[in-house]
Amino acid sequence: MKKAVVSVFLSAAIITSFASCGKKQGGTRETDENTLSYWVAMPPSIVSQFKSLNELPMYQELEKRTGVHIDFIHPPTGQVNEQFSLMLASKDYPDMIEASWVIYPGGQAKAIKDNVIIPLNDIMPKCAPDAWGKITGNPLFDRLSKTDDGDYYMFPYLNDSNFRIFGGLMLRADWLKELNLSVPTTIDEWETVLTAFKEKKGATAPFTAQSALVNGSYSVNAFNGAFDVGKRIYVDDGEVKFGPMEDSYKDWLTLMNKWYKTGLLDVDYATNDSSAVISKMSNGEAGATFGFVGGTLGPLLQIMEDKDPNFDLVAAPYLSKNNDGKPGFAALESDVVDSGSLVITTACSNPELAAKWANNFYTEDGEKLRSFGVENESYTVDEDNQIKFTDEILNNENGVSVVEMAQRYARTAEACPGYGSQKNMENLYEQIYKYDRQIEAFGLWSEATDSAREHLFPAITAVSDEADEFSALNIEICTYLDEMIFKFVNGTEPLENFDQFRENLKKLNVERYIEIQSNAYKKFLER
Amino acid sequence: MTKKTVQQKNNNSFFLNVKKELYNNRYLYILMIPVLLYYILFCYAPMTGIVIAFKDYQISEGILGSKWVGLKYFKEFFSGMFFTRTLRNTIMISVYDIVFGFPLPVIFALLLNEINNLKYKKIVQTVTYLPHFISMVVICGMIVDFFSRDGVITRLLTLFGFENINYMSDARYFRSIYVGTGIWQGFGWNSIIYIAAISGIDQQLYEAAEIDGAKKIRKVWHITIPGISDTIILMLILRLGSVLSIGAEKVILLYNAGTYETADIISSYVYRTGIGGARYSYSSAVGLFQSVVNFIILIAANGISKKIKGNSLF
Repeated sequence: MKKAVVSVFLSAAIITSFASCGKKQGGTRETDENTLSYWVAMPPSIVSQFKSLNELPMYQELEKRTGVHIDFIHPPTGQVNEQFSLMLASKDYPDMIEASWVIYPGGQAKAIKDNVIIPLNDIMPKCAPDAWGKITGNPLFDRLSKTDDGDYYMFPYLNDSNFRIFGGLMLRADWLKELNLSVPTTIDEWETVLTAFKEKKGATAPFTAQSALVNGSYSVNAFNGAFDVGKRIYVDDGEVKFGPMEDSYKDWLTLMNKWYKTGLLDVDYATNDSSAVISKMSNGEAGATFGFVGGTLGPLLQIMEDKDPNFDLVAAPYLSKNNDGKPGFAALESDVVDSGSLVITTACSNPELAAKWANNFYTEDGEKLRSFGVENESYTVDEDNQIKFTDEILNNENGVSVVEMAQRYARTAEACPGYGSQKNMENLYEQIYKYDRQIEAFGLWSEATDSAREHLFPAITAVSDEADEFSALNIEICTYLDEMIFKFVNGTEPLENFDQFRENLKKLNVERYIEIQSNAYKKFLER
Repeated sequence: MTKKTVQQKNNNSFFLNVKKELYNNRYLYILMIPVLLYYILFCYAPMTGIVIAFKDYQISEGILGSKWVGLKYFKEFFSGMFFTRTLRNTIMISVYDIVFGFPLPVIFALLLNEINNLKYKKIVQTVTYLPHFISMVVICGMIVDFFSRDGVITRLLTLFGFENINYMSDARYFRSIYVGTGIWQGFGWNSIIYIAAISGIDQQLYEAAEIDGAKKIRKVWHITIPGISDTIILMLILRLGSVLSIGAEKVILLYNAGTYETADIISSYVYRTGIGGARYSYSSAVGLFQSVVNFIILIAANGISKKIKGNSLF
């Protein structure tokens, strides 16, 4: 009998635990009329600090101002794309979604056609006049913020400043000085400098990098600029081109191979992660790298401040063909960053309210809120109307960087819905970046903005009916490319086989691949 | 009460109708419900999703609404450039793993059985289990570090005259590293079932053998191994049933452009196309192919074992 009682009790326990599970799940969505649900990936920098963006002072302040409560839904870190697809497949949409719509098969236009998101052509001018004004007021913003069919569908991140290039080449200024060399601006000069680093300074990996130096990532354009060729898809004179199919691509590859063989390029570049790069730069194994203002330059200067007072890093300009000062390729951020776009879904019962709420990020107050946080909490305004972060943020005792501290109040320096004006961004970056070298690097790299923009392929996807075909081609070609480029650089595959490699690419239908992107680009230009 | 039920069942089980059976063992059946539900909900119901392998699945249309395309995606995979390579890599890694990884836990269990010092035995067992409990992500992080140019293992290897390179970016070493670390992580844990089987062997057999003058090796050969042979065969059949399905996560965490050639397996390919490229139908087709091959091998292995050994899984 005892056994029976126990078994009944256990089954009951299991069943109720199932039941309570279901109840909890169903209860998360409230239907209060002043509540909107908002799906967004947690910014990686604050994942360890906050459970939800609801706890971020910026959103709390906004709730106070608007009376609208936002119910944030965050996918688990590291599963953002999977969760995004799952959410769409389940058809249980939140009211608003902030995500990159380029990964939606068929792109944004398809998402509207599929009844996932709503076009904002009518709602935006009426309910979000500030956002509407900012978007339509700038032809570049305008074109990037709508679909091929002319539907405005998102509240984008509009970067209206010169701060668009956050990464570039950098090298040891103290070594340069010691060796009596100047900052290199051509491939030959780079070779001289790196050779000197290797021979005279004992650097075992004079130029260190991550695998992005040669493979996929668009943002890392270190030396290909000198050959006037993009690593992947780019635009040249209105024509869509694919780097590996261009002749100058082989010249660039030959150089990388030569540097690899002669030991100028870090032989472990393919497996380095960002911390490996930082450690090699700080212990003198490497003297130069491709890095970012906030992610590489700042941390390195900070780490070395106490360890080696002589340590100094200086930015080098982007390289250009014939050294004409017009570098065609840089780590250029698009004018409208797709990843930070906010859309309203068809599930939203009150799109007007959502649009009104989102409009707040495009007003002057909203811009301050988004970048600097809450007045008197995270920033103060002085007599000259200058915004300044509080001491707690600027001079943090725990060694947390300014930007990380600021991000505990607002979505500072993040590509998220909103507007960034030149004036505010300048002020922001001057405060965020502690070292003059960082500001200097910013200025130097930014000189490439205009010439690099000419080659920038916008964040667009293949047109709907070509989407699946493109996706198939994209994966096969990228895998093959990543692998072969790596082999060409380290010499496992001799460069004589380059033509064979190109033939194989053609077998993988690279021509169709380019054509699809070219079609998408044409449609984009017609917008 | 339990005793009574059993008796009743034995006496006239033939005439008991289902209703009575259910009533009499109602508590057992109630206990079974959650398990049954689990299998129906999480194993059988999702299986119907396989149909998307034969459809052009669109998120907006749903599984039922999408267009039928027949074997389009299977054809695409078989004629694709990566078919032979991923298949070869998958089989190679799996075969290595079976050849080198399968006997080890058995040998380990046999050795452990011969240790008389209980305390020492317990310590050895615990230490060998430990790696099993470390998360795969951590294990892979360790592997990448240890086999990099300045890694602990690379340094050890150079002492023995191996070249000082980054072993993680050299395609020649990927399989050895993958299989070797897999064995290291799993052999202690996998030996549990054999240790349990050994402890189930009748001690009288050993005593009888001793009286007959058998030495240790003889006893192992004639008593222990035959005693656990059923378990070994069972485990081998189960292992053969997953020849083509190697978990993708370890490969994904370890491979890079330099090792694609030997490292890219079917599951990592499915991951890249399905999750990375949002090609659900295509990756379902590839995954289905993988499962079907596994199923055929499982049936074949089972059949062979039935013929030769007379015992089998089903």
